[in-house]
Amino acid sequence: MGGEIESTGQFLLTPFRLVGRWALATVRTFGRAGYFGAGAVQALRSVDIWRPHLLTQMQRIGVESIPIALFISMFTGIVLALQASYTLTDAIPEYFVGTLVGKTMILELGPVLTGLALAGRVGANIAAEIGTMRVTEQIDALDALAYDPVAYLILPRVMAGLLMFPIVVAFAIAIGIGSGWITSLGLLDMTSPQFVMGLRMFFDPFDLQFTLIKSVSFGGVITGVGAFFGFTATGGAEGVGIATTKAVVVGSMIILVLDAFWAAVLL
Amino acid sequence: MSVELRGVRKAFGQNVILDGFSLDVQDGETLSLIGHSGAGKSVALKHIIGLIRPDAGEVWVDGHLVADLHREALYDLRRSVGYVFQFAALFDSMTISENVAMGLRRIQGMSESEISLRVRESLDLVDLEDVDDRYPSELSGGMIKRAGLARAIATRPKYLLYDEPTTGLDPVTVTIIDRLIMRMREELGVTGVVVTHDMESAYRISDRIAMLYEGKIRAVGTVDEIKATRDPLIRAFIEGKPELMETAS
Repeated sequence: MGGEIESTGQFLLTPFRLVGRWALATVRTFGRAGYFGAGAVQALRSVDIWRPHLLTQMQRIGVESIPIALFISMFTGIVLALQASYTLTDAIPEYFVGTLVGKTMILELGPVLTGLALAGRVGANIAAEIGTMRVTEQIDALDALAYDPVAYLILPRVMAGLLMFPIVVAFAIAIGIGSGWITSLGLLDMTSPQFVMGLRMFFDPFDLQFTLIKSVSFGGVITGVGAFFGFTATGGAEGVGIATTKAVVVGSMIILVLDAFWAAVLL
Repeated sequence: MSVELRGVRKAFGQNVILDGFSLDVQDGETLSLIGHSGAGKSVALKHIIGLIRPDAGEVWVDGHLVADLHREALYDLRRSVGYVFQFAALFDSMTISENVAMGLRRIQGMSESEISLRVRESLDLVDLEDVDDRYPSELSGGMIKRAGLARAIATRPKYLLYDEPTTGLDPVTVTIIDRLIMRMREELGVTGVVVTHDMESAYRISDRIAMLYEGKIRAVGTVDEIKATRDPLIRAFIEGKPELMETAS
């Protein structure tokens, strides 16, 4: 009888235990992330270590990401033009297709879709590469050879993300608008002057500042989160797999939260 | 005294690895740290260059308390210590010569030609030829271990820490590595700490041997003293008799 009461009590406590464990793990992760961020700021002084790798990382993280970003934005532009035309009935002039494609690509879909795609491509790549170096003691070897591993591995990647992400997003926006334009001409019986008129009608230069701020923050999040989970990976191949998954999932979640945050704060 | 660990305690979560671990290593000697797998030998070794920080206790190297060293001072200390990792930990995206040159690039004032010369000398010291432009994945296990050793000695360190340098190698390669460790001491005057559980190797290369057991040093002595010990636990370990070890513990 006593045993049954005890086991029922244990069963009832299980959800609280799980929540407690989850809370502790979350606090621990935030603590580690804070420590990691402080290390990155401190490592900024080691210019001689991180600078030689910056261009290489700009190439890998930025230039090599352009094709996937362009592929996604090209089809997004086509769909946006067609859906805009479908949504805008006869009561609304056709040139609003240009407005909708332009505004949506610049303010939202250009940075966010590129961000989510690169959370997979770049974030996963960084987490897997640095995680593998962690579990094979290559990061310890860097430390033992008097290289600050944060300056050597993390800073060039995060800086490349901050610098290159806005450029990749700019290409994505341009191609998205371009493909929407071509779709409007080819499939919607619109003329170029009509599309351009719509495009320019509600354009505000602040839109570009807004997307620049978003893009820079997304670049920092994608590379920083990938680097953090890779750097703190433990165990063997399984640990690297977990780190890679977390980098993509957490990176994507933070992008969506930041997206809402910037909209609420800046618009 | 060049390396000294005093009352070091280290735990990972609930798992206590070192508990009152004390050891001193004299200048110019090679000391082997033996003990069963998972005893904490590598953890002890990593404390010496500050890759792991103790929960309690002190680690002194060259008169410096490692925990008190700020960033730059710690890196200065690491420049005087070579670390041979258990699985070499070569950077797999770099060639062997780039790997060996890594530590040299952190030394102020070395020109590219001096670095190339030193890389060649270091690879010659470990009898590695025609591997300069090859990647670690293209080498055998023994060659990788030797390349790891070449990287560790390239900066001509005062101390060399070897983490299981002969594990998993064939007997001939083990002898080659052992001779290299002895050459480091004799030709370069290096103070060495070797983590191993290969007793034949430990007898060949060591001035002294220390055994780690349950987080502490169980015994330390010359090769002859360890061979002649009456401690049943050490006898069981060096003779490879697990049934005696269970009885002795």
